[in-house]
Parts: sequence; structure tokens; C-alpha cells
Amino acid sequence: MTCFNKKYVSLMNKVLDDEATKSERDELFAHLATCENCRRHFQELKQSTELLNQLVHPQLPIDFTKNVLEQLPAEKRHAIRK
Amino acid sequence: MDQKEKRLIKKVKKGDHQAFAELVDRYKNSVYTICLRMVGSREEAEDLSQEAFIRAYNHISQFDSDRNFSTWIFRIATNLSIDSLRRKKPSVSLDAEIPGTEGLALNTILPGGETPPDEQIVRDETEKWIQHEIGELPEKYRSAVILKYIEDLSLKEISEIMNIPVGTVKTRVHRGRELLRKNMKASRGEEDDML
Repeated sequence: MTCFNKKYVSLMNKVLDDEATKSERDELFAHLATCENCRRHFQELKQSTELLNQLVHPQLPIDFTKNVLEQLPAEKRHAIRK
Repeated sequence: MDQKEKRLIKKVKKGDHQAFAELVDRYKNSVYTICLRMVGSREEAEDLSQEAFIRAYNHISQFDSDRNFSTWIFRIATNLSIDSLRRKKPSVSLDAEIPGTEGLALNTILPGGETPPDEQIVRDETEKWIQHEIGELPEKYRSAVILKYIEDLSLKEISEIMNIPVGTVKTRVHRGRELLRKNMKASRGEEDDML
């Protein structure tokens, strides 16, 4: 059975954006309990963004800041101290 | 913007390198993350991050001290990344297969699945796969999704960075999220039976 009700997609977006009211949440979850397609869709939406959260945050090389400073135009008031 | 940052900006406007170094240290990792997830290559992201800070310094006189420096530097980083993507677009094949991602099923990479023999290798492969999927998103959705889900910024902050209304940010996040879901599902070889 396929559910084509766009209303639930918009409710899913509201819930995922943390903008749903309590009654909107209740309405969505009541529907998800009975509609397998929407339930899967909602799970997949959540999973895809949760995966983004798992990405590592690699560190820049330690001399990054120093390299940036070396490429700036000469200081106006102070001499560059190494 | 906090008072300390305001003072730093004031010094930078007078040409103080040391004050600028403090700003770089505050934001370099976030800037690097944005560039990295936008373009997908560490080396290129490092160059773009460097360029972003150098530009920020050279144009600091145009920066309005009542705004957040983070918003400004993130905008520069996002725009430089988009420019860089556009420059090399013709040579990039979106259909190119990412080595090692064949047959990668979601249940092997999600928490709660069976623990793989070598966790690090699986993590690297997952990382590559997720990055590939981000790279499949059109630029305007990609930047919105990265700022929202990787940098954890609010819709309002994103609207300031991207210089578009909050409503437009929301639409881009929704479309990006939906596209990501659809592509990830397709890359796992599952049929999409909805919408």
C-alpha cells in the first residue's frame, strides 16, 4: 500500500525541524503507526542526516595559522615577530 | 559577537596580525570542515580555508563589527568552495564509482549492526560513501545541509551566511534532506516506492 498523502511529508519536515506542535507530532506518529511506507520514509530521512553527524572533523596541520599569517600583507604598526 | 571578539576585530582593522591569529584559531576548524564537506578533498579544503582567512583579512575594513565574524568567515568559505566546484565542474563525473563502496549496505555501517572485523576500515569506507553522497547534492542544497547538519547552525544563522530568507533555507534543507535520503537509498540498491 502506498501513501501519497503530502500532508504527512510536511508534518515529517516539521518534526525533523523541531517545529511541530504536540498535536502535529501526535498526528504524525499516529499515522506512522498504521502506514508502513511513511514510517520507512521518516526513518530514512532521519538516518540520512544522522549519518552526516557521524562524519569526523579532521584537524588542520598545526602550522595552519602561521602559514596564513605569512601570507598577509606586512603589519602596519608592528614588525612581524617570528 | 562577544566583547573579546569585538576588541580583536578592532585590532585587526588596524593591521594587527597577532589579533588576527586569534580569530583564525577560533574559527579555522569550522571553516575547514565547511570547505572539506563542500569540495570533498582535504588538500583542497586546506587551500580554500587559507584563502578564506586571507580574504577576510584583506577585506576586514568592509566587515561590520556589529555582525558576527563567524557568519562572515563562513560565508567567504562557502562562496570560495562553490567557486572552486564550478571551476572544475566539467572534469568531474558524477557517475564515477568511489572505490571500495560497492555493495556497502546500510546495516553494516549503522550503529547497532554487527561489529565489523576492522572497524577503522569500515569507518573510512562509510566516511567516503557519505562524502560521495554529499557531493551528489546540487551546491545550494549541499551548502544548506552542511551548515545545518555538520556545523549545527540555526536556520537564521544559515540565512545570514547564505544571504537568503529563512524560508528559502528551510526549503533547501528539506529538499537536500529528501534528495540525500533518495540517493542513499538508491546507492544501497533499494527501490524507492514513495514520492
